[in-house]
Amino acid sequence: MRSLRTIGCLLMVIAMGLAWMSGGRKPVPMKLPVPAGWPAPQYDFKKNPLTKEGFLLGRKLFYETALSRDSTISCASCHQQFGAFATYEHPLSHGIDNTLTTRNAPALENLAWEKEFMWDGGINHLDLQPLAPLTAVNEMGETIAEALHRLRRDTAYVRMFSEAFGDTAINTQRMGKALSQFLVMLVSADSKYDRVIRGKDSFLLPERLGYGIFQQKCGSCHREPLFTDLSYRNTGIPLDNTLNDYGRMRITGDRRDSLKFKVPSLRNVAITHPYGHDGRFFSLLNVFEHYRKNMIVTPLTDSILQHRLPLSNFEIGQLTAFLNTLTDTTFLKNPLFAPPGYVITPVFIHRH
Amino acid sequence: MGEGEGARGGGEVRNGEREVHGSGHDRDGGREEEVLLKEAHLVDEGDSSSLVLHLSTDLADIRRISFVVGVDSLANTGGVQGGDLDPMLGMFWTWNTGYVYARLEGESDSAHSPAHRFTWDIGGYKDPSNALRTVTLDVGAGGGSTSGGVQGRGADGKKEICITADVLKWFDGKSPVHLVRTPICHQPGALAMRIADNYSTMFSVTP
Repeated sequence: MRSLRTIGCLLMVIAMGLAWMSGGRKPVPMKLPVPAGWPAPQYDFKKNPLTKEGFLLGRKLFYETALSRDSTISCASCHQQFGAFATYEHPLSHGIDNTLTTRNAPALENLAWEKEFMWDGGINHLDLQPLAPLTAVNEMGETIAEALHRLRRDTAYVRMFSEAFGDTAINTQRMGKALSQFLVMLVSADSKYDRVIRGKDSFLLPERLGYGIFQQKCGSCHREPLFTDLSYRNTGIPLDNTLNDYGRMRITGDRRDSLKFKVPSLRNVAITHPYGHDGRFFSLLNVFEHYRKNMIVTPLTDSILQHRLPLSNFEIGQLTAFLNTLTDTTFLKNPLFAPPGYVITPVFIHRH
Repeated sequence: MGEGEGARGGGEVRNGEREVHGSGHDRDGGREEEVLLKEAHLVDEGDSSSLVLHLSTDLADIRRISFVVGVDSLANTGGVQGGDLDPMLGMFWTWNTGYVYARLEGESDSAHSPAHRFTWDIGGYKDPSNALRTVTLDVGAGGGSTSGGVQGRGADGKKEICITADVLKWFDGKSPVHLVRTPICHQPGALAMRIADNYSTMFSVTP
């Protein structure tokens, strides 16, 4: 009898919890986890306070195929969690109607620390970023107006926008803010490297040697802890005459920016292949070969790469060992970032 | 607002369309001035309701009007804006963040672009490609008169100031820009600024 009463009480509590969650209450604040020793985030949270409701709405939008013109593609189609939110093993992203983009989808991680987005840094605010793939004819190919129209007809979205923002209005601004709330939470800071830095783990010898070589030869551009200094650099990657992508120059109109691209973060680099702005490097070995041998050096090539980047076979081996320590499985398997209702099966569990 | 019927340089403008973002304030002749409109207003030639602005003022005697054609850098860098600045309205570059301040599109035999379509999208908020332009117009002496002058009274007794835009000024308001050579303008830069200089001369107060 007592246990029945206990169960009854528990049910009451759960029912109250549910009522509290759904009934016009204030959204529950969330906090961005800022890893120890990291710089302050760049994203302006005062204009878009993080809340549980906003995050959940953003996550639903991120996995929403109805945002594309033929309802086949979502953000997550090209930004796959198991690939650190890059496109696994695809050099160029696929759009609707058998189209291809001209660039490799970058990993989405630690975006709260970035101020400019895309390989050429053309987009100056995270809230605006999703509008580019949404409207590009070789990506999701939809108009903002039509995408919003679809969301407004979906009662789940009407409810979730209301829970996140206080009323049922669904507009461009709120869509951008909700997506940002999901995107900024994609923090990757729990790799073996991070654990070593925190004193919770130690490198194997090749990893430790590789870390030393990395700091000496790679770290000035791929700067810790983000593993990018967020600058744009010409690394001697020659123009592909089918893509004709001049990178940063397209944004600034400045010839000196020709073939400059944003320095990508190396976090989770072991699984974000292929590499380069157009995915032309299929493996890390290709990248190392590029830097030590294949670079096309011009006066516009980055000043610190004017003599290419000499790397011995030994150094390449140790560097590879170190770069593998940047894989963050906590991030790759975090169910919080998975599609609503989806449970990631941990593949590392040994089953008989 | 004027609609293009012909372009200099042997070309012809058909189906001209123009849209202007402007936020403005009216100025009295020296003693006082007042900001009459704080938000951006999108003028869309295809939407007649956007061609009339209803503003209230305490100024009795309006002699000058000033407005900005374009969107200030704050709105260009502050994320997704609402109202007439909603990127949904299409006056926005998603891939290279920034507002399109003014757009003129159409067809001309002079334009050797695909299908002879010319598209001039003008914008840019960063130096040295800033295409923001401030326009100041004299409303003229006799302002405030109830009949005859430029500030006539409409049927509802409100003052009306009619501003006309001569679309041909896009081509030669300050310096000639030819469709033959530059039928496409889709990004901030020297061409966009030249066209902005040109169209900033296109406004006049019509008696």
